[in-house]
Amino acid sequence: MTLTIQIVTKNNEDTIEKCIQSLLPLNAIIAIADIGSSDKTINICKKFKITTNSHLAINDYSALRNKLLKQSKTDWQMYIQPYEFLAAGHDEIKEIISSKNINAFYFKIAQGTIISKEIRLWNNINNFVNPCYETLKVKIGLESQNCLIYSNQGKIDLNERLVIVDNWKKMSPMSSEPYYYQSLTLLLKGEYHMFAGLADHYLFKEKDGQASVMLRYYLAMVQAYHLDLPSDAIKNVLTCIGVQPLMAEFWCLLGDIHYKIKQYEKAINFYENALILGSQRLQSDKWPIDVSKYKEHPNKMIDSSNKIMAETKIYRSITT
Amino acid sequence: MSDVNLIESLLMILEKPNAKKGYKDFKKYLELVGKTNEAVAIELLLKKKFNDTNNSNSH
Repeated sequence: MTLTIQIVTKNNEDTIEKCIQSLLPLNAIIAIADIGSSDKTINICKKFKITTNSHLAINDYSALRNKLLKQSKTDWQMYIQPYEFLAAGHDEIKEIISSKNINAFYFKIAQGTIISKEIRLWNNINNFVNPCYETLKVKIGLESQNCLIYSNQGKIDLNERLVIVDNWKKMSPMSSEPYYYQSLTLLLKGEYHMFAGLADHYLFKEKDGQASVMLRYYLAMVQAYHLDLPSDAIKNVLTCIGVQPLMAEFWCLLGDIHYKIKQYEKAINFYENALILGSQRLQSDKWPIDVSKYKEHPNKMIDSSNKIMAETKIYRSITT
Repeated sequence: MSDVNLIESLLMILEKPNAKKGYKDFKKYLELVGKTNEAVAIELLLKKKFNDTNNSNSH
């Protein structure tokens, strides 16, 4: 066997079976590290004759994953989350791991209508960084053609993540990165005021880069939908557009904000921009893509805006 | 063209998204900073939205 696939589990009885089943055609070593499941996760793994190594509750996911990497005896490494499954690309993976070329490969990760790209398969010197929301340190890789992972997002213990991030902040007081992950965790928890405060803090320090632009986009959404701050939201979306004008998501949000404040003509123009510019976005870029924002959403909103404007016109003609 | 022009062009687009000027300035900015694909996309937008056939590359 030339491939080890690592999975870190904790109470994933609903999803782990599908995850493991999707990996079986690869004929790989599946290394499962369980960090305290109290449900049937371990029993399900045993059903597949996979040994699980138990670990105590941890405060550094990267350290655990790097330990698994060290223990691996194969050339190629892959990781998958217990709430994900490999939907396509098995043959391509087999072909890749039969090669001795040093490389790393991006897979597409689909979650709802959003597709992101992450390095999931590699045989170069690489290790994980960040105590939580762990990620690979080296980001240079080739794009796989067919490898697609579906994600259910599953059960992430957000409170546990916040504790880890808090410790991370204490260990690295000068680093802005913990603020990024802390703000995203608060966003997932629906704590919008706290999210906005921390996002502002992070964006004050880190102005450029994909992480900053995406965080600014989320901040704009929160400002528009939850904090009733449309002007601030518009300012933030414009900044995002300045960096990535081909992201239909940004134009759609600008359209949504104007739709919300009943400026339908402007909204239509922004949705049109989403359709035209989004269609020119390069498939090879590594930014996440919300596929619904490239056709379905803007078309639906253009129709709705036109309908409202037509009804308003009729109403006005009757009442005057 | 500096960052100020980027902001100006975006504000122009925000104020009048159905007018050419802001998009043309934004395209010039993108060309200047080397974002060629993005500039080409704005060119296409100008053609589709405004039937603009003036394929000017002047900065």
